[in-house]
Amino acid sequence: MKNTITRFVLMALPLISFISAQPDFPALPNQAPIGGLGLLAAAGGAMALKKFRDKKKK
Amino acid sequence: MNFSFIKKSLRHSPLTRFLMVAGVIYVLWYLVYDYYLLPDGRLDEFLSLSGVNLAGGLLNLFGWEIYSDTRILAVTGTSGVEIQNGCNGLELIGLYMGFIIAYPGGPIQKRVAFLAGGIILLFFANVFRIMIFALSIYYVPTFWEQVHTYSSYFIFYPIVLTLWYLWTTISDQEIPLFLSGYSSTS
Repeated sequence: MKNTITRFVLMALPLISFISAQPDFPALPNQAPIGGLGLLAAAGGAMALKKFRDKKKK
Repeated sequence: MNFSFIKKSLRHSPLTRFLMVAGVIYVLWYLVYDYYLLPDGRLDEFLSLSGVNLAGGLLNLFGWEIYSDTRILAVTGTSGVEIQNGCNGLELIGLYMGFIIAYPGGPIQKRVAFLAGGIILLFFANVFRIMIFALSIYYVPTFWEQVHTYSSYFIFYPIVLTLWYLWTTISDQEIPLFLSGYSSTS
């Protein structure tokens, strides 16, 4: 009897993962942060540098 | 403390002056954003909700069946896109403003008009971007990562760089001599 209970518990243990694992919400929305702002800032700096240099040549 | 080096740099190099002013503006902007605007949340919420509502309204107007719930916009049947803080263009607006304020020259009225016009344009560009996202999830969901990653480069970069270029051109035409850093005889 003791062995039977032990076998049953051992067989049932892996099933816990099936019971506790809930499926993902089928419609999780995507998120969309704006990237590449560092590059844009660098481009702005380069533009300003060129403008100032052009002005100095004049 | 001796600030003569800084004063000399500011007086003689417009580039140094621009970089220093821009740096100070960006630091101030991030402090204000991190310690006031973000915890307060009202400005972020306004930009996100109005962006989602406008994008949803326009998609609906053009015939798409949409589902919208607070910050989420979806063409019916898809997971949609969620416009959280950081997706609503506020950071970009801060970057745009920093350049316009820091670049020397130009009358104050034109500067204010350029700032206001640019902010409105960027807001509507973000509305357009949200629409593109909602449609891309519906039509080409497998390309979501690409659409999301490169949308800034195709939508915001041309607008911001053009506005910055226009502002440098306008302000250079009307730059006061004492701000230009160059003498009239050179």
